[in-house]
Amino acid sequence: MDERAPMEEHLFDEIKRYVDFNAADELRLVALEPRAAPHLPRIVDDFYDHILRHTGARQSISGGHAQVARLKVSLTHWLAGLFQGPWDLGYYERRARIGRVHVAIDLPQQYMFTAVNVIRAHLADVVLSTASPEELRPELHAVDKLLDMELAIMLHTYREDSLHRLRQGERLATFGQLVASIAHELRNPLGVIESSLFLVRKRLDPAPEPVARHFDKIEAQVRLSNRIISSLLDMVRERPAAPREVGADTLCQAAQEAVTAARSTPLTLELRVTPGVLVFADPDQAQQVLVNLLLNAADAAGPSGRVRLTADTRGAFARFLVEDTGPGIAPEVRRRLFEPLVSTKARGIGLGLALCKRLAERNRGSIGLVQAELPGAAFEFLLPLSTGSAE
Amino acid sequence: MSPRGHILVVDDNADLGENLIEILEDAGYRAQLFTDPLEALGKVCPGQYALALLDLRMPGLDGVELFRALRRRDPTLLAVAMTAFAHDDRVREAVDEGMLVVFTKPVEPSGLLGRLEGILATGA
Repeated sequence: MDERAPMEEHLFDEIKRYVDFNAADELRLVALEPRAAPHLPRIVDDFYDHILRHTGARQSISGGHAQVARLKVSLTHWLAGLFQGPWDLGYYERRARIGRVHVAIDLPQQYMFTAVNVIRAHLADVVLSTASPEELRPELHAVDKLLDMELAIMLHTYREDSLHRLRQGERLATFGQLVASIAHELRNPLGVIESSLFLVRKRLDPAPEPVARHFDKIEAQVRLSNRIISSLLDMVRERPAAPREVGADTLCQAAQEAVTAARSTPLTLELRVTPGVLVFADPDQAQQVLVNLLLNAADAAGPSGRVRLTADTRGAFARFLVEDTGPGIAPEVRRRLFEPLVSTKARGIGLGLALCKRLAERNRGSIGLVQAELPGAAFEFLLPLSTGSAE
Repeated sequence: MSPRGHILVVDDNADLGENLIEILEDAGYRAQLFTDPLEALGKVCPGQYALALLDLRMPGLDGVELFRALRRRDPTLLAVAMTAFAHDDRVREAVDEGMLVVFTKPVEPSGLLGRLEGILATGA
């Protein structure tokens, strides 16, 4: 949350002022761009060679060659962006994303310094070998200032996101205890309702039509309440994942069956499953995520809407894409969508997606909101491929 | 219907306990409810019950402690546990102590009857 007074200087302006980054530096970077561009692929290769040689840094890259190839493309864009300006708030926002990605992949902060230094050394070489004698020193300074700014942005967003994660964890621990005790306490009254219903049904067998219908309703609602309690408890309990190899098609079919069974109204669900995709994950937890995403999508799509579940691969991951034709997710909710107790539904308690995220992460996967074909919301759920699948 | 066996039910939730008694009696068992575990301990005589159905979390004396005390007097007593806390340490203790099944509340009545019948027929 941005709580600064509107008059206050933006962080990026403050950083620029601190390193004395000025219009002359901007002109020098623009002038350097055509001379640096031919060297970028080589710098990128060397950058990742450097990381892959280092045991600690390498651990942040779990996706093998495919992931490195993707990262190289991102880094090439990032390097090209250094020289393109304008160095305004839009620039800051674009660059800030990189710090957040580093938090997301758990990259220890110290590697950012060494990594930026690899780039610094390469760009210094470019300047030293291409700049005119009188421009040499000011151009080196401009590159230095820019890379210092980049580091400052990365570290700032890194800190911001780490703190955010930490606060979220604390909030969850406190709520978790409260939620667990309420959930457990509710099981006793539900037990009384369930057993009383069982007895009344026996005493009134066969029950006349309207009575039987109400019996069914009570039973269904008790079952629903039990499900809510179980997902609350799943949410607050750290059940470790028990991963094993399982087919993406098996998971999708099981999820489809569970969703059909859980809903009273029919659902138009389109399955597009690439055959032979094997994931390495806890099957129950993976299925739970898919069921949650599908139930959300079905709610959002409404009775006349459609839901599509696609399963294929993305690099070292199996990708499950759940799309719907509903209204989509409001922009103001997007950033907090996976936090506990945030809901877009009038009757939601805001645990489904938070639980999905935790389960995905517990299985070394991830979950996110993406753009897709259907007009409504689209969630991408990634799980590591089993080594039995071709990458 | 002739009684199929005498079952002791101890649960501090009286409404649930009464329902369980009714369900058991409907199924042909003789059954008795105590809502206070200490009272149960004071009144139960050796050989009086074939099986005990005990809630795990109760004030005063929990289900595992109660079972341990009852079994000292009656080593042949069979017992099953009920709990709203499926991941409680007491669940493992109950199993270690020799309780045959731990049901998670809310206990589904027909499932409960099926299991009790099996246990009383085979003793396990």
